[in-house]
Amino acid sequence: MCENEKKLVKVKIDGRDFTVPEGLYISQAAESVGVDIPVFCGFDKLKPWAGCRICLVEVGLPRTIEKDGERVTVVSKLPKLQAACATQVCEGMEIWTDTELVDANRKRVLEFLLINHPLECPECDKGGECLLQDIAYKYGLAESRMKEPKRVLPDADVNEFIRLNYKRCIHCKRCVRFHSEVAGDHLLEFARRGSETLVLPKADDGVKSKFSGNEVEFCPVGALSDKLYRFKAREWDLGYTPSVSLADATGTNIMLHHRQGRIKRVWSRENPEVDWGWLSDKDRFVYEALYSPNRIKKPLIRQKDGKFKEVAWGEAIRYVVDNLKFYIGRDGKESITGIAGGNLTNEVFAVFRRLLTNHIGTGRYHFGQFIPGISLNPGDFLTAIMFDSTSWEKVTHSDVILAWGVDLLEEAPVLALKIERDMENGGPMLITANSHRTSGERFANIKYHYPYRKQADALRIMINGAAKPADAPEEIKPMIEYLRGADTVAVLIGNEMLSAPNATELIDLMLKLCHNLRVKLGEDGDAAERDQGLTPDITFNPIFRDGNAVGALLFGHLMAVGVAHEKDEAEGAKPGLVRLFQDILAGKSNFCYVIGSDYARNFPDAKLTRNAFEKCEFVVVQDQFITETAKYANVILPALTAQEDEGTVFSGEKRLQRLHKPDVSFPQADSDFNILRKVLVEMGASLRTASVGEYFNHFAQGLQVISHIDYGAIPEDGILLEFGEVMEDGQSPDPGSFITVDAPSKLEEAAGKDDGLMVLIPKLYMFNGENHSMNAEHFAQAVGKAFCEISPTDAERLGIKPGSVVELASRAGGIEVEVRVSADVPPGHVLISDSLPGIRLADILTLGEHTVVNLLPVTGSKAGGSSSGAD
Amino acid sequence: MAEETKIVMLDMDVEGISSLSVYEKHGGYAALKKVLGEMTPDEVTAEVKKSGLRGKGGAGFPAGVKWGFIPKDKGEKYLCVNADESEPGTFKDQAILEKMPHRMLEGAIIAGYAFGATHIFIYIRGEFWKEINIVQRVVDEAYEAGYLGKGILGSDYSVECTVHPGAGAYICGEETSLLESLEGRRAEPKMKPPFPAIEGLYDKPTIINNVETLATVPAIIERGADWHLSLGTEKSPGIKMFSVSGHVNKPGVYEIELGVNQLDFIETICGGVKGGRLKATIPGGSSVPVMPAANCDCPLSFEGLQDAGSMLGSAGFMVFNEHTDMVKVIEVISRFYAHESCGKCTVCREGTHWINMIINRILRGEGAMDDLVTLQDAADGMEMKSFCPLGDAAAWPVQSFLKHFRHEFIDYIEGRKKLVPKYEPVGAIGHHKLVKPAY
Ligand SMILES: Cc1cc2nc3c(=O)[nH]c(=O)nc-3n(C[C@H](O)[C@H](O)[C@H](O)COP(=O)(O)O)c2cc1C
Ligand code: SF4
Ligand code: SF4
Ligand code: FES
Repeated sequence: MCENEKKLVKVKIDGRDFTVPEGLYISQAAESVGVDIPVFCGFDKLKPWAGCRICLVEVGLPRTIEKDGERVTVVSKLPKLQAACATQVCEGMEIWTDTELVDANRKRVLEFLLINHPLECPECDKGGECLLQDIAYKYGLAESRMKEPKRVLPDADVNEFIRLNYKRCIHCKRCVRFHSEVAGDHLLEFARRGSETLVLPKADDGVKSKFSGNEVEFCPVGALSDKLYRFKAREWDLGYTPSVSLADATGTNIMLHHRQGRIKRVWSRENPEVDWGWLSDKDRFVYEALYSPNRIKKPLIRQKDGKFKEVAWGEAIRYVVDNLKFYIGRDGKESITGIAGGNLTNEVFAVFRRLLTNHIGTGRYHFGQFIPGISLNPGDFLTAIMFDSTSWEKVTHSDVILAWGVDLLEEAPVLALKIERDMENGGPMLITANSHRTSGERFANIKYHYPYRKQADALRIMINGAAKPADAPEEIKPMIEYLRGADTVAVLIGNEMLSAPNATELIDLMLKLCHNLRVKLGEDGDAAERDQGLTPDITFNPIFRDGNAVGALLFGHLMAVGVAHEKDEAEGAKPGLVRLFQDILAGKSNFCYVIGSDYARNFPDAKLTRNAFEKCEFVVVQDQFITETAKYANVILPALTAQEDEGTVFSGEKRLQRLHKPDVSFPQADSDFNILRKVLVEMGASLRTASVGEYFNHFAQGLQVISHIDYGAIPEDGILLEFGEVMEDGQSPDPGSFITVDAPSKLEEAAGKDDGLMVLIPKLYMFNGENHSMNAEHFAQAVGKAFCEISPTDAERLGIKPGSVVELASRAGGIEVEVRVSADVPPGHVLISDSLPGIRLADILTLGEHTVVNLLPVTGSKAGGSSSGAD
Repeated sequence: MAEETKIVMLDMDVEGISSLSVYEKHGGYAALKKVLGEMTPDEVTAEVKKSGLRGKGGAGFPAGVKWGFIPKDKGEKYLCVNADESEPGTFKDQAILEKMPHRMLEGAIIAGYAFGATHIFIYIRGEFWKEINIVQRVVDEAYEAGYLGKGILGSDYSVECTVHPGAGAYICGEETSLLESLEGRRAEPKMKPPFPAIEGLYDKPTIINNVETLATVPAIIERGADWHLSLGTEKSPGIKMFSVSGHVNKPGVYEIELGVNQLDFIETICGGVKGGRLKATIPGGSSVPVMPAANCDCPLSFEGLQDAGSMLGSAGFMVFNEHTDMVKVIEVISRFYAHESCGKCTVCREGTHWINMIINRILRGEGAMDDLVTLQDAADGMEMKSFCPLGDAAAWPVQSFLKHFRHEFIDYIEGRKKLVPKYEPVGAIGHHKLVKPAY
């Protein structure tokens, strides 16, 4: 909202005149002019509730009366004290915050709150950052008049992350209100009444929240505490370092709280344009993986007997470079392969690419998320990301959001909350389109469901419908109407499109749909005459799964397209991941350098990757854990995570954000950046830049959109990149005319119900079994057991009981998992996490086509399942 | 000499009056027919407004004025009949629900017609299982006879009706909590504005009226606003049902003109004080200040009681003779509020509980003089500062008992009196005993 759009009103506080924006609550207005009003339950991010009563002030309202024949305005005090947190200021209002009445009330409320409060500040985590302490210090009575026994209840667990100390709760209800108003999951409720009122966790009833950690921050006292942090540190001993969460592509801003070289907790660092101060439990709690006993502490070299031996860094680097030189010499520089995940900083991507392309001279590399087929034709997709993607702010201020193939609440939880909040404030309409019912569609205006394997046809029907709304089939008419009626549409796509076997086709179709929406409809239903400047604004943001997916694309593809074209002309474009692995298998590449990725575990053709790594003569893995890929490594280099290092990342809105280096370390682990530089030095490269910052400034010069940015000057809230600005004439291009495609008139799922085969829908969940998730002890508990879900119809048809274990058998292999039954899943389908805890889903995935499975009951197997694939 | 004036209670003793046929035989639903046949909705509202009918649920807000707050546009609007009667000493709504339910329903339909209600919800205290069954039967009868449903009696007014059992808490009777409870949530007072008349049940314009308020409406329609104005006093026009309990010879429910002298009422209608001389009354339900006998010579009206230091409230009229132990009385009252505080606001949640604990300690003979200061401070800390009037209702009795019967507290503190409890009071609170919640 624009500040200057707000009307200003004149108010008087404690006899002084102020001008403040209309509609502010008295407490906010007072704060903005530096007048102190204590609050407990009042919390800007929740609706006012006015329960704690600490903030009561005297209020006078203006009234016009006749006096001696003249109309005069007098201010008359309201008979009752008013809640400053819940009363909005208005013109002429007078407020008294320091009268005897106000003071007496504050003292009394504090006394009421303290009569049952334990005297345990020294052992309470909140000590030093407790609102009750602060306010009691200012206004409280020194002596307790309470002669009765205090209220005592044993602590309770809220969930895997949070412990609730009942004795300390002051019943401000912030936590309960948060879970109903913001998170929408009702993890906590008030139960009982009167002085027995208590905050009741609902986790035992199966309620799961993705946002529970936030309550530890905003609980004004130490009632809700972070189990990972309990008794670990004191607020005043902590160091604070601003950083960015890489748990998903939202770019959520975080503050690392550290002490004695370790991260102690992760708190929010409010960026109103990004996260509004909320974190997901993944943002907050996966850091625990850093201190997992499984973390690699020293460089490891595989011995002849197959066992790893700890070595010093110098030896490890020399070993890597000697072999690198050997394979370059034997197989040629083009034979070297480099693979990097999507949670690394731009500087790491840049230096890795420099190593591969400049110093080695190979075009065989892949950074970031595997998007099937995209390497064959990345051009349109990359162009769309660069020029058509937009900021989250703009997404939430669009007329319509079309969230296609994405479950926002799972894939970008904090962004989902931001969207929902803006929807509530009269913001965008939300259309969701998925193969199954998702959690993220809870507030959607239209929830559209397509048969999983018919996603492409569903898009084709949409493309034609956007061009000729009159001919659109009934079931998509409402969507087309919304989309056509909007001046701004934000298209978001996610995992169900990006990781589909036919991802490239789907993306291409979605871009066609965007195109058609940009073409204005004429009165005759055809494309309208070009109307300067009035093109509907259609933006396009993929919701990637990784924290720096955009950076990975930028350094892995965009700048490589030209190079690769020359190099690989005969065989098409730059080789994609599948080709990289196939070539290794074919003996064309015998040296593979892997940073922060685990394709032996999660590539949708696990046989291919595992055989390739097996075949590859020399594999370097740079990671935090002995991943499945690392099991094939000749050298394992212990790396710090991006969180422990500094650098820059691009979030899904192309926001360039900076991670600052916290004062933490891990035995001998080094940053990816340093390790790569050591390799470069060992190879004899002369390096002109020493630090990450210098390196950023160096490569930024070569990249037009960031060439003006200085590393040291990147603001805490980041910089939104505007690729549009560098376009020559600054005009939006003429969208031209409609595209039409061959589309079926109806969507029919040809799921093999007859032959008993079911279609597998791999899904990206926030609570998933990725390496980092599973090494973070508490987060792993929250992830729980591996399971899949089928519809009640199928459960009945197949005679499968919820909770029983089945084998999912595809032509690629079989795994055993527990079955749950859910009406969210369409009949004929099996919904399953694409990153199961403890089980390799990749064993049953079929590359290039949708996976179909047979459900075979498993007798005598214990629940929880196990992988039956070769291990 | 005071006498009863039976308006709502007219024919209450007639055998079978709770059935539709008998009620109709005694003139039932004539007012509704008159309204549907002869009056526009605005005329009905205007008539009730003119009559000066004040709400009988406790706050005394003019009913017609309240109906006038409802926006005029079309769309869903609701009437909630507040039949949650839980105020200690008050049992007049229960009498209507049991014996004269059709009169309440007729009044509700007329009110609904006046402001365009599309649905009537009758929210009946959960413990009134017998009355819930009766009212459900009555609603079924009314549907069958065409008094409810589509096109009532051939007119173009339609309204549906649902009977809803209450959720078992005193706070459910507070209007915004009642709406929360109806929507299936925990009863807890909500912020106003938005006022229910603008954004109430399911965010639709909603009127909440007490059972007795609505049961008075048919008579006003039949006999006219002027007739109603001719009864009672200027500021308290009309009649009021009193639930009489305590040390009187004839406890029960009595309907009288407002303004009758209190002592006269006790003497002539309630059959006089039983077992001794009058010590005190609580004239308006447990929430209002206690009146020592010396102050009782006053009119029973909103303004009369206010001037004498108490309130009409819900007219739950309790009489105490000279042998009553007032500290025990306030213990029971304060226990009720500690038990029924919804827990939302600090002052009431903690204050009610603390007060009850202190009073109990005084009763056990462990009190000290400074406890009286603490009691006073705690009560003052609640009054006018709580989120909803329950906090006031819990404070006023404590303040007034301390004011008028302080010496009885001191008797306990100084050891002249000591309570030897025979048993744990029902609903006794003491958190130290609480173990893991039983949920
Ligand atoms: C704590 C509390 C309890 C209440 N209980 C009742 C009740 O049981 N019945 C009732 O009619 N009104 C009760 N009220 C009053 C209602 O809030 C509301 O004012 C009334 O139902 C309006 O109806 P009337 O205008 O017809 O009196 C209560 C108010 C408070 C603050
Ligand atoms: S647990 Fe904390 S946030 Fe929740 S009600 Fe208690 S004090 Fe407030
Ligand atoms: S005064 Fe406060 S705690 Fe008491 S019932 Fe009202 S809102 Fe609840
Ligand atoms: S901060 Fe205003 S009532 Fe709690």
